[in-house]
Amino acid sequence: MLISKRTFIKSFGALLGGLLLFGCRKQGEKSLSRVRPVSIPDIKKQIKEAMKNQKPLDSLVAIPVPSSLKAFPNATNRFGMAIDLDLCDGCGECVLACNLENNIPLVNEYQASKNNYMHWIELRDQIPVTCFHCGDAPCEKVCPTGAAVHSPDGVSAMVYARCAGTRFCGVNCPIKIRKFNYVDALDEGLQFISNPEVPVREQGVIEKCSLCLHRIQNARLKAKTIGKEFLGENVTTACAEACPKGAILFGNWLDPNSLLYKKARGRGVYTLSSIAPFDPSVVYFKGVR
Amino acid sequence: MKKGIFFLLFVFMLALIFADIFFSPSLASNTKKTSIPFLHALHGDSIGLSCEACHSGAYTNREAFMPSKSDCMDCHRLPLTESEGIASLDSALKNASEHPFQTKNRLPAHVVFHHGVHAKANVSCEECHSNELAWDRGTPPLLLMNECLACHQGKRGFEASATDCASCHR
Ligand code: HEC
Ligand code: HEC
Ligand code: HEC
Ligand code: HEC
Ligand code: HEC
Repeated sequence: MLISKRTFIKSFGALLGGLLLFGCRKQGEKSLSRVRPVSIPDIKKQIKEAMKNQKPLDSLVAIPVPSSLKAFPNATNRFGMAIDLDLCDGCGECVLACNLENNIPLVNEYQASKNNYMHWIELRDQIPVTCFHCGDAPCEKVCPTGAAVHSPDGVSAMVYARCAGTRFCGVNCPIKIRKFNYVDALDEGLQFISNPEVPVREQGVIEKCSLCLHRIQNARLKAKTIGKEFLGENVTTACAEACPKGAILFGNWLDPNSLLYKKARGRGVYTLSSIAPFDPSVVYFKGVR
Repeated sequence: MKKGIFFLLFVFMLALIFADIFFSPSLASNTKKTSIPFLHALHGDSIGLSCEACHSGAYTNREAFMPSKSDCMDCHRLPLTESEGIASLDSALKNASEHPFQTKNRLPAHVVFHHGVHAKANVSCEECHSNELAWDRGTPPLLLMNECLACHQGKRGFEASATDCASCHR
């Protein structure tokens, strides 16, 4: 006898246990047939709820027009946005457009009761607030896995595959605009997938405004394929596209031909007081300078 | 007694490894499904055909795309040679659907890849897709981040290109 009966039974048990554990692993594909599909009215309803329950806003302070990033002084692009507060009336269309563009999930009742919506754009005191893509971002500095990174063209990006969900970034964000996926939206039937270009984020990762990074990437790849320099022409974000007042502008702060650059001339440029030290790429326009 | 515990642990680990090998869906599997015979060797430079004739996106698009039945029919409407192969090709083509050649996405959805930029930068197909035999079999191309990065860092004789995460990930 090579091994005793006792050892054999024990190892056999362990083998079965191991296989069982593996059977219990979370697998990629799920059947979603039994859940009611999310519809656009569901999304609108949650946006309305969130708008009824707006968080307070810091005071606005004037800042200079964004220029080259300190980290990438030679870059030709610094993408950003401006929200014209003289035109914006807080209608919330941008939030809906963003949700549809980026496949942002609904939240369940418990999270809704805690005002933890996933919306990348929030209205606070009727003013749209989103990630400001700080050039000197406090969130990126505290990410232990390197998932929160800054691209050379000014986007504060997330590598969702690398995110382990420590939420340090969310805590260190002065305006707490980073959203944590507490629940498995696919599993709970809260996911509306309207844009195949944007992968759905998993449970347990932080997500946030990407400045419609997928649009920037697609446009850059196209430009490179035909051998053109890419300065962000013909790109815009979903929120800017959807704004009925034309209050949101997307553009390149370093390109004198960019609409954003031109429109900034003579305008008062503001940001939230808590964001002001961090060199934001997304700013507010208000009044004249 | 101590030995027993180690043995148990060992068996347990072994079980985990085997379970992973046998029960997890694999990323890098072949895609060949169709019964239509096809050899790249007969359709390359020898008859003056560029890859684009069948993989219409290979030089311009994100995806390279697979040929449809009508792409084959352009030439194979009439028997081209006397060989037996042509006869079996004709019958296979007759029974085939309009899009008999399928492939699947092998890169995860969060990865950005584009054939057009690489063609524009004169990266040949073979840099990533090895050889003709592999194309016939549907062997997966180079797919790992390390391999992409090695070239992008300029270690494979091409000009260095993007290595920041947000160029390849979304
Ligand atoms: C006459 C049409 C034709 C031409 C020209 C052609 N191919 Fe193909 N290619 C095919 C077909 C058909 C398949 C699918 C083979 C199969 O599944 O049996 C294929 C498959 C492939 C695949 C495997 C794709 C996958 O994921 O399974 C690669 C890679 C490939 N071709 C590369 C090339 C390259 C590189 C060239 C140019 C040198 C080229 N092909 C020219 C028809 C063509
Ligand atoms: C540009 C014209 C052209 C196109 C398009 C084309 N072929 Fe061909 N094919 C040829 C020629 C020419 C030969 C003969 C080559 C030889 O025998 O040297 C051939 C030979 C073949 C053979 C080998 C037959 C034998 O003799 O055993 C097969 C199989 C085949 N083709 C399949 C396909 C399939 C499948 C497609 C579509 C994806 C396709 N071909 C598209 C021109 C073409
Ligand atoms: C830099 C590496 C690279 C180069 C160069 C390259 N490919 Fe690919 N190719 C890939 C990768 C990676 C995939 C898998 C894409 C996926 O599954 O998402 C792929 C997929 C394909 C496929 C499968 C179908 C599809 O639509 O994706 C074909 C066919 C193909 N390539 C043909 C070509 C041809 C023809 C060329 C040369 C003009 C070429 N490739 C050059 C990396 C490369
Ligand atoms: C053999 C070399 C080589 C390999 C392998 C390779 N690339 Fe590239 N890649 C290049 C070159 C050269 C460029 C062109 C850079 C330019 O035009 O600035 C490029 C450009 C790109 C771009 C556009 C960069 C930008 O500035 O926007 C992306 C995205 C990309 N590659 C992704 C990938 C991915 C994903 C893989 C692995 C599946 C890969 N590449 C493998 C050589 C390679
Ligand atoms: C040249 C293109 C390229 C660049 C640049 C790049 N990646 Fe990737 N990455 C890939 C590809 C292709 C894959 C999918 C294949 C794989 O898993 O290796 C991937 C996969 C990953 C994964 C998932 C691995 C897994 O096992 O699921 C993580 C995490 C990741 N990348 C993080 C990063 C981070 C962080 C950076 C920036 C420092 C980065 N990547 C830059 C091409 C790239």
